[in-house]
Amino acid sequence: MKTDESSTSSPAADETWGGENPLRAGIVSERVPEPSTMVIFGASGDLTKRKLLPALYSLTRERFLPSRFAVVGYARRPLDEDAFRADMRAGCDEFARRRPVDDELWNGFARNLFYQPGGYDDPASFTALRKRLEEIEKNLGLPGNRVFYLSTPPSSFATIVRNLGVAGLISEKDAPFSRVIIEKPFGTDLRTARELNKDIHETLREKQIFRIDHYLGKETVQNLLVFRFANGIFEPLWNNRFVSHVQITGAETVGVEGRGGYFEQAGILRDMVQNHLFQVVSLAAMEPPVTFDADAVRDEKLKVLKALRPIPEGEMRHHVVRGQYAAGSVLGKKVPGYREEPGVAPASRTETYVALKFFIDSWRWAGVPFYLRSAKRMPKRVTEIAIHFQEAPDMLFGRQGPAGAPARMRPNVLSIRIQPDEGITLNFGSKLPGPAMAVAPVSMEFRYGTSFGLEPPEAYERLILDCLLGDGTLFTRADEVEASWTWISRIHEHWARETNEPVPTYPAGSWGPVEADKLIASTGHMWRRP
Amino acid sequence: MSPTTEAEAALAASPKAPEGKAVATPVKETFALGRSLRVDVGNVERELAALWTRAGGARSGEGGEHGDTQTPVMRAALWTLVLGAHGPASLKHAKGLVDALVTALPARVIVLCQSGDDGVPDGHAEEIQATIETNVLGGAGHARTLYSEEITLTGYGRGEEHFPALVRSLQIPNLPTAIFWIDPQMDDAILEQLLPVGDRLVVDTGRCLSSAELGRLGTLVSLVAGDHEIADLGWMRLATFRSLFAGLFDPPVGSRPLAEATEVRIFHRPDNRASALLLGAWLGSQLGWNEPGLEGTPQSTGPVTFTFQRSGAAPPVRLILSPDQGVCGTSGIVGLTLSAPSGLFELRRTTENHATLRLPIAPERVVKLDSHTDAELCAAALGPQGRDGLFPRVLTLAARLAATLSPSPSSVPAGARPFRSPRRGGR
Repeated sequence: MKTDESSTSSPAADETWGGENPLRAGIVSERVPEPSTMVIFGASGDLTKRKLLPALYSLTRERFLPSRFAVVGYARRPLDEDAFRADMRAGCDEFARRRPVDDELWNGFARNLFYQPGGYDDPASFTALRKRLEEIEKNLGLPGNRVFYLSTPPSSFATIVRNLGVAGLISEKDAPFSRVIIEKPFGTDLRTARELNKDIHETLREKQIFRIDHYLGKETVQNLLVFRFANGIFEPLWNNRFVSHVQITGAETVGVEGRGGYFEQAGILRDMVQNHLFQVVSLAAMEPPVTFDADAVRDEKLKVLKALRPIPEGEMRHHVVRGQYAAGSVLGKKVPGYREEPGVAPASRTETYVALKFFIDSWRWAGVPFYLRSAKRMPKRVTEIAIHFQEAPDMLFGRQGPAGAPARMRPNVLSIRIQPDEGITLNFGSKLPGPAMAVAPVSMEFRYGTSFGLEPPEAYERLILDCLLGDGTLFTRADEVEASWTWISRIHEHWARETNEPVPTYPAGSWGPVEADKLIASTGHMWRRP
Repeated sequence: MSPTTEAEAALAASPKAPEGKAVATPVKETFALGRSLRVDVGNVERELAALWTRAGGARSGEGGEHGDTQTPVMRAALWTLVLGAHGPASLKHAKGLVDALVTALPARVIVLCQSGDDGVPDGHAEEIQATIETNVLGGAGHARTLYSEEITLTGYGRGEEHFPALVRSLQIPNLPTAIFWIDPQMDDAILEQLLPVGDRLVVDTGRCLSSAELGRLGTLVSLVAGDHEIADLGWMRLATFRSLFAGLFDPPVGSRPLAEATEVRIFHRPDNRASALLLGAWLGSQLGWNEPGLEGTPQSTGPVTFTFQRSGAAPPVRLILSPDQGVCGTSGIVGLTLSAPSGLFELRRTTENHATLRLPIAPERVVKLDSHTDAELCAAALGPQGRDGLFPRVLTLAARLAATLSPSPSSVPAGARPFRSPRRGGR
């Protein structure tokens, strides 16, 4: 039988049957990228095994990757494909978010996992890579979309990108797309960052470059934007009229973990502050973007970085304190001092601790000190940003202080914990039950992990997916990188000049050198104990 | 305090373990857990406050599990949830759902249970009874969170008439309210009065056992869709299937096979024809299929074939719903094939949690195809999937297809009357 009604109106019905897939239309929360291939340079390295492959497996498991998707590992080490697959399986067994690994799913995933040995500076190897990719794409019905993940020593970044271009592996078109993810560090100072940007821009458009900073993949970092711009009550307070000061802490309990040679060249300022913590600062201090697209958000972050007040050369010691950990005890274990670590020079001046006081010269933040500290061998691992609000103008309650002065109440502090135990805490004063008008601080706490019952994705999962989708919002742009290096490099230059200035030490397991306490006390504040 | 009903007693005896992967496995206190406390209907809020106070003061040995340290309890609630249940079995199902759901979604839950009896049974002096329980989530050194309050209202005889007013009095201010109306036996008259204070309506086409029930739900949804967000657990059970099938036509395959398809076959479990109709309606809706016609006389359990016309010179396409005994997960769908001149495109479930994708240009591929629990689906229904604008349009077409299978008015449940569309914002 037939009905008498002419049926559905579909958006697809009147359109030509081009490349658009009408079945994708209207699917809620659909964030599945087009079929594509990811090539990982540095595939024999630790990051690939611990983070990248487990992330790709998890994305496959959660069906965020298209069913047609291939991964090609590329590294110098000669390795047969089966050995590579076994190594990656071991990585997933140990590090995947959802374990145990699903055998049937893994077998399907591993069939599209390949290995291609080759050098980073050998054009012939890149020609071979191109032929291999074309063969894989033909066999698997892939349209030629490619993402190249550079998980190699930074010295190889420019060479690899150049060779990708020479071998014809980079498409200038948007379809099929070619994108390159570049791991940190992006340069070691302003000069090298500029040179690297210049080099890779000879082959790639900025839109094709995804400089990864895994901090931006963390849910709580993204939640900073939601917290600030999706709620009406906080943003009006988020300025110099109500905020006394801001403290950012990036503390680790670990030392250099056998990477003394690397850390000697980097130091905590390069390793944590220039990238991760400055990204957190820019998200916390930025103005609302006009839209939530990649460039609108990054434009606002850039304004913050450009508004960082340069520290005058003569004022450096009032704004920057560095330190090195001495032997001590962390989490119940005795640990050696930094200079006793393998690969570290006995007279090393590399900082494992840094504390900064800086200002953002904008209408919003004029006069508000920002204190930032980051270090290794701290008593606990924590990354947080704490907004300290100004005290109530008149203290009606509480005891009398010394010499009859009113006692100071603890100010309201809004702390946003980025890791671990992600969440938001607001401290405020409350009357204690009873006849007396006694005030006690209480803590109102939102814990990300227990409030939604959902397991957040790993940072690398989110960032890889965003790259495949072409969304650069959570990646750093060339001008952002250069702006942060502009400010940070002045400190390195100062330290390079002041070779006789002693580097303070702090016992491992403490909160840093006393000089850092003096730095913050000079403006009437004190470090928070996170 | 003892459980008050048989169903509640059974529930109290069973551990409140989370069912699904999306549900966290927190440290839960024994405080009030699994116990339904009978309270006076007019004092529900006061009795809940008393439970809070007890939770806040609970120390080791008094039900708390935090040693001698007294830690405050905070209430965390994202929604007010209203669930309908009809009779003890349905109540048990609803309460089990709530137990699994609330660990993933802090909420105040109001369960409305129609006793299923015509009159007030012996021993039930009141026409309506209320029980309450709370669940506290905590961990060593952490603050404790009251993550759910469950209020169960059981109506006897005319007691059900009080449900809407009681719900209005028990809603948490300034939080959204979701109404879970997933038992097809629930009285539409109650829903009519509840909808004005609800923000989202959650239904379940997967529980429609007949084409007539699907048609009735289609009517309801079409009437309220303009004013309410609608989520359907049955539609959500198909989400992964739809997404994976759609992926077969991503580049470089493109949409040509969809435009040139001659036959689509949906394999479904015999008692899940409603799911197959919904899936077929999705394809028809998205691909611009018109003028559905039914081939032959349908049998209640046999295959069903529809023919659709397409615009332009494209030939008609046949949609065949084939009963199949294969594994189907919770969706009831076993497989889906599309035949086109360029070849066969297929998605078929191979085990409970995997499926195989086949298409002409690539080797076959195994993919993950999870079966989500009802609790996981309910939690998801309160997220973006609960605002699926596509669903009402698809259900409209599915209901029309269902109507061609069971045109007889006698198949509409006895007592059903035309549903009047309510408007939101009422008091």
